Amino acid sequence: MEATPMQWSDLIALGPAGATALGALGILLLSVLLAPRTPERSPGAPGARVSRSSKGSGEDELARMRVNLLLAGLATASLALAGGFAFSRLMSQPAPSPLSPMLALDGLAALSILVVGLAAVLVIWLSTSRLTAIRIPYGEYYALVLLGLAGSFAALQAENVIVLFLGLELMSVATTILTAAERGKKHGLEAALKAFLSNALSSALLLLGIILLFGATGHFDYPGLRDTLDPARGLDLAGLALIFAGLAMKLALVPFHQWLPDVQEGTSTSVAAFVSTCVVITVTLAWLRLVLHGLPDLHALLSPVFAGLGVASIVLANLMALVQRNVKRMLGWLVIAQAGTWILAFCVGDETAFGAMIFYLVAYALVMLGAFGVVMTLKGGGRELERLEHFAGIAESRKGLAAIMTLFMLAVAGVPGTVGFWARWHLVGALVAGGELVLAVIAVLGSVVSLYICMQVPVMMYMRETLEEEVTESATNELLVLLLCAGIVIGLGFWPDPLLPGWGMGLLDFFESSVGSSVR
Amino acid sequence: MVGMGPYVDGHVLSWILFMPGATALFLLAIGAVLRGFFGSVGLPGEVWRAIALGSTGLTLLLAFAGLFVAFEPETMGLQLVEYADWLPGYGVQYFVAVDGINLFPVLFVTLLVPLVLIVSWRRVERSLRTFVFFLLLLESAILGVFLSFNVLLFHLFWQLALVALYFIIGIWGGRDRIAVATKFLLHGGVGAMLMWVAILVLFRLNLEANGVPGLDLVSHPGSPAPGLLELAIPTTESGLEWWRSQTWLFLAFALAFAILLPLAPLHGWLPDALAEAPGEGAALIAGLLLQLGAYGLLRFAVPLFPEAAESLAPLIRVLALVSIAYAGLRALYGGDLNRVIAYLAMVQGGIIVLALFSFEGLGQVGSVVGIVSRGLVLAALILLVGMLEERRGTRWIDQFGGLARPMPLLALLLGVAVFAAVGAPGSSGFVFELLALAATFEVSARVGLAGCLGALAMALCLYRIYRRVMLGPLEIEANRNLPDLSGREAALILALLIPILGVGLYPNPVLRRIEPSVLEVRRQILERGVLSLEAEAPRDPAPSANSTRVTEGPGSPVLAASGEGQ
Repeated sequence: MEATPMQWSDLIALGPAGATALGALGILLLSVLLAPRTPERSPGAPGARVSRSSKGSGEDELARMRVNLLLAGLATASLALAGGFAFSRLMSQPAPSPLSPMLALDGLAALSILVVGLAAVLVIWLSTSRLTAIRIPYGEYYALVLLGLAGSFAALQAENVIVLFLGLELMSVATTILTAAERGKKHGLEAALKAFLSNALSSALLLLGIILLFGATGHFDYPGLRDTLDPARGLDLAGLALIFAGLAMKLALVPFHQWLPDVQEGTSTSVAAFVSTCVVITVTLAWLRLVLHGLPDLHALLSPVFAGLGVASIVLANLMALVQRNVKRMLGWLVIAQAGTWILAFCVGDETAFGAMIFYLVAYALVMLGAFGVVMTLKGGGRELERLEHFAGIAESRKGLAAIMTLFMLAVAGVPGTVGFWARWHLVGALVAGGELVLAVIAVLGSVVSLYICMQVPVMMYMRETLEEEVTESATNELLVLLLCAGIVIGLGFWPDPLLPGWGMGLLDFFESSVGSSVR
Repeated sequence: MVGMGPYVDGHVLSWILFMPGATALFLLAIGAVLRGFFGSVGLPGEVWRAIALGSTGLTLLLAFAGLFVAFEPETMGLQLVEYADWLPGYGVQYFVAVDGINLFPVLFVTLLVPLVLIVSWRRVERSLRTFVFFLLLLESAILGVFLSFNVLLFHLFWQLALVALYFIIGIWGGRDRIAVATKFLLHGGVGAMLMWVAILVLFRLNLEANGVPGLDLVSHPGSPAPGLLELAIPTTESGLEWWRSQTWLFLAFALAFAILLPLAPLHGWLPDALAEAPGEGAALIAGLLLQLGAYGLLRFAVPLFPEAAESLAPLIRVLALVSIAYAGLRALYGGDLNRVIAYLAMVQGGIIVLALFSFEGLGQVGSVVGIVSRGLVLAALILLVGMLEERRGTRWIDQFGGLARPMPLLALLLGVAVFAAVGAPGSSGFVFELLALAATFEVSARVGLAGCLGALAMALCLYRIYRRVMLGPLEIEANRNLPDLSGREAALILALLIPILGVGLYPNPVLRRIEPSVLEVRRQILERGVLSLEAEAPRDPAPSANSTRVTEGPGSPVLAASGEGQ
């Protein structure tokens, strides 16, 4: 191939990850500059809480709030910039660059970045008002979230297994630190240790797999792998198996799932929301990119693998979720069950199925963020109420919140009138179209169990007597995000295929064509 | 339509369908606005209930003054059709219509819900607004199930009805309400989900056959895709994937319907639900929800998959007989009156299934009458038992005896309801059981005889229970001074008993409207070439040949005379 001089436009591919990383650095810098002067007020220091409450001056509070909002706004702006790069690429759909790049910003990558970025913006605005209460320093929090997202965006654009590895690693490290960021939480350190160990193990598996593949084929880059990988060779097969095991562990699919519920329970709710949306979606979409770009057509080989992972996840996670009494932990198991459901799309492996999967991911992100948001906003006696019993009788004191939570729970189970129904319709429809009826029935029966699990929360809220917990008001930003999520969940529940004005096609077609445009 | 105004004309079905649900959302919005902007606690629950009563009353009025009057009895096929694009890409269209088969169930639904609201007037106090909300939602959902002619639209309403009833049982039920509600939801959920997969397969088949997405049951000019009833679904597997065959699709649909009917091995939820649900909820389950199963079989499962239905018919008949026998036996020992009513519902459900799977026009007319008659009778019985329980604090049969002395009015009304339940002449139950069992006899004398015996056994059992409760010596002191029904309560029950007696004494107006639609459905089935029906009647003049047979049945002077002679 003749080397053409590099164009400025080729650098756009660096845009999303670059903008996010620069945003992270800027936020770190600003947070140092704007930090409160007196040492006793430094957030997170031991005793800070006491001194704050004893002084409790409104001016202090206001200044802190301003800094917080400024940093959150900055984070949003840098994410918006990243999204802008992706969006411009989606609008223009240029021919792929003749260079063989490390990163590519094609249709699939741009769409993935938009999905993850939107979820991240919601996470950020959901958590702003909680940061003071849970004593996480703002600057570090936003910077870590953005750094994790920079890694995520890199992984989503990867055209090279090393970039994939580095991106996922960056994301994992940032997530691990975030997991432990809330000091003094009961199982916080345990959760962080679990996250750290599982990340280390999955990264090791991934790296070993990459090395084996390199040894077998001599390629790190996706196109090279695609041309030279030969599943008949043992070394290639071993490398592939290790890579898949590593990715499955990062996605917490059964049997690599043990870390996720513990992390969800132990960490603060906003980080749990980040892990169960941004992280999980990133791993899925990066995996999708690897399968589409980096591997030859291995459908016959991979289909049983994905089917096994998916079915095991659906069955085990649903059963385990049945007995949980902690809502965050229950949601953690539900994340595994949902991941097991959407991973089944790989068994069919055509554009329709992957379009349906992306739709499912969008719906899932909205619903999960909403559910975690409700858990986050329910505070009593200065702490989060996360046990199932704490929800008892909420419908009496917080009618709107109870209704919204019911909506999200119904959406997880895929009841009509919510976006969850159509997400499942597309996904299971793709399974039926691909002839995988047994998988379709398993996925659907899993959702009946999920319905039972999810209904435990409304049962508590509406059917049990209240525990007389002191329930405080929710912050405005939380309510706004929740209302936004609920609005989209209902809106897409009735009009699941809104016509996108820029492209002249429906949402699902758009997803499909984005996947299709990047298949070589 | 006669003077319904420019907005209602041509949209009367939409008005009926959405009036309750829209009222519920409207009340919710008003409450939110009041709370949000004026800081008040919102409208009090009593106001909600009054507005809901007005709304459901208006729906009832629309149903009778608009729907029933505008319905043309002799017309075959769908009437008052409303068709609009909703999600054409998914085959989901807003397609509602009425014909002879769903006309009377719709009228019945609109009648029962206001009655239930009135009954709840003194009994439901806790979370009143939520109760009203779910009740209105449920009415819209059930009306939607009856009115939809798009399979997925039907399914959406179906699931909505399940969820709404789940909350009604779970919030206002008795001691074990949560366990029972969960049992109910899991039974209903498994059925609904398998039906959902079958709908996806149907969608796929239709797309492959026609190239356009469509899930309408019958063709409509507004849709590019032909109706599912014109879709040829392979009967045998013959090299194709197994799940494309009619048999599996039929089973997936029939399972959901059989759970709600309910048939014997799938009935576990019903006695518990009737025993634990609040009186209002029990009336809604027995009156409305159970009828959905029979309706679904009649409207969807059999016409969509006629060959599978036919080849599985012997098995289903056996199941129905087992169900009748089992329920009859259990009723003998049932100590709780609501449980006895649940078993009565199973017996009648079994007879409806026998009638349906006779594949006779006679039987199908009978099953439509049965849907309405069973709903009326069960709702009346449940409400009467609820009134008794309100006074005495128990439903246990042993605790009663000789109640006719302190409560003659209750004894009289309950007597009439029991007469209707056992199919005594002069009640709608008689018309239903006569048509149903006659059709069953035509298929197989043995099955018909067994069905008759089952009905007879249930009748004896009910008479026994009635005697035990109402007649005999007044032994228990607590029963001595029970107040009789008030005029309001008696009027409520009469609102259900009058249609029962009306249909029983003069069934012709009802049968006249049902028949053409049943014939139309049979014609559609015949056009798809069902073997044994073909063998019965020559292929070409099939509809007319059958129509003469059917009209002989219900419209015959013998039947009318026997009905009116009482």
